[in-house]
Amino acid sequence: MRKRPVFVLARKELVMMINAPATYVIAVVFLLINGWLFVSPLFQMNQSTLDSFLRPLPLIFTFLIPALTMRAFSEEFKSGTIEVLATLPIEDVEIVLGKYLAALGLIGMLVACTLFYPLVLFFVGRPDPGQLIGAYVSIVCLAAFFAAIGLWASAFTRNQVVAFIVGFFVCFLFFLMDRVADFLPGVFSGFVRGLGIETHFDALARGVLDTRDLLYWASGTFFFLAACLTIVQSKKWR
Amino acid sequence: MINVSQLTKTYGATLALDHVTFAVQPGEVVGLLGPNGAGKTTMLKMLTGYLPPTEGSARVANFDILDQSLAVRQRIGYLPETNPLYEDLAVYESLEWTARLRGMAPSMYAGAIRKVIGECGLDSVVGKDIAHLSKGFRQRVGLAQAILHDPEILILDEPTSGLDPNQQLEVRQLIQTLKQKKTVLLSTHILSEAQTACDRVLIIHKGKIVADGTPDLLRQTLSKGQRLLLELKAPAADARETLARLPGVERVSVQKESGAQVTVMLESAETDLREAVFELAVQKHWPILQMTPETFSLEDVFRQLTIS
Repeated sequence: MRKRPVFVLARKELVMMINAPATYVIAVVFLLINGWLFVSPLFQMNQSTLDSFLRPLPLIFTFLIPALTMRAFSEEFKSGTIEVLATLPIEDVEIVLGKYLAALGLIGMLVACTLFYPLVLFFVGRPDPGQLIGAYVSIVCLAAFFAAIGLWASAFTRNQVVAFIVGFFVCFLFFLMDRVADFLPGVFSGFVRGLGIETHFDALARGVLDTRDLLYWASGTFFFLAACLTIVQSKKWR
Repeated sequence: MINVSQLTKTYGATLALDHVTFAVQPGEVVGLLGPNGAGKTTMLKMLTGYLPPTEGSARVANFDILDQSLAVRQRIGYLPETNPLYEDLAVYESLEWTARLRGMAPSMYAGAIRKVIGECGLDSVVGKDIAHLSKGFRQRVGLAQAILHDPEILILDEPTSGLDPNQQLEVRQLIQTLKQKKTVLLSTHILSEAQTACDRVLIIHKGKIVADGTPDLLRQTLSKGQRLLLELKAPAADARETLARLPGVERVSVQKESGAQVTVMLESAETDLREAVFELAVQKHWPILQMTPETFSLEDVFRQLTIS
């Protein structure tokens, strides 16, 4: 795998996503919801933490990230441009990584807009910088995992709506696992809770840097990117 | 330049290509001719590395299409049948991204883009979004993308499909200018295109190559029998019956009938009918107004080979 084609493709995809009006609609909705979630309890609770913004974020990401990634492959398959892309001197793995980096770049831009909230906290109180850094590492890990799921879902189908629904469903499944785990018997409960995102997200968000959590995010992301690559290759080679 | 050996492709139970073997020499313009569904597009998709063969092998620019796919893709320019383009991009952007994805350096691609814009007549639409272009311009953008990196080999899948006659002529002229320095393999079902643009024609039918040669050679060797167009001053029914009884005549068809004149087409297996027709006309006192031996066109050859 070569770095150059990955970054060139990522830049092209990012430019195309930024040029799409739908991206702005999604971005505005995301920032409005987050802004409201952050501001409204801040003065009521009189605490300088990101809790009110962080707690609902996994649920918001289950909608937001599949919506941003749904076009990535489905549109290429629908319009046939995958044939042009696949007959350029680029490897399939470079195509997948290029699109993944573009999706991460866009999500990164949106998350960067929320950096305004910790800044506000520094003005109104004395937040714990370690916890804030942990929170943003946690957000990036969650975004990276969900972006891999969204990309995988997009490679499934030529239909963007179906790609969104599949992506949302799988992300939501990982979101639900911690809650479902409470109703399961002991052995299964621990296993299912380990698969869910909430425990790993909360630990990092509290500023607790555990390699098990980092391994969870990395292996989950790798698994869905590998699955995405397999689908892209199998669609071409059918 | 292109060597195909026993290439076979199946889609489930459907056999799309059946042990096809052929070679294309450097500088040749070869046309893959065949009815829809004959296997032309499948063949080109395999040569460009988009589809894997089920059996057999192929080398393009001396590289194996499976084991050295990346090297093959670096050396070919490909225009797919449906000419898919990124609609949201402007023409220049689209060419620029293609150049970058091909690994061309900015110092190199700026000049290359200017060149293909001129060659493909895209000057007037450079800044326009591809979504707003006419079919003709879209085809030119596809062609410009295919030749941007100055490839050794051009693979064009129905390059003039859906274009009006003027646009078809322009694309053919462009292919003619390109053929001086490139090897071109193009698929088409437009016979006149194969006749005018190609040095050699491969007729493909039901996944097999049924004819291979220059358009003239195919006409001469594959056209069975002779045809004679005859215009006589004679009663139509009588002329038809009498001419049909001549030795060697296989078929008589009346083309036109006006007053005392009749135009008929005589078809024979091998015999030259002209003397016999002349003697019959003298005997019957039917003045011959015209007697022209008709040559078989590539279209006739194509129909002979591909009508099951």
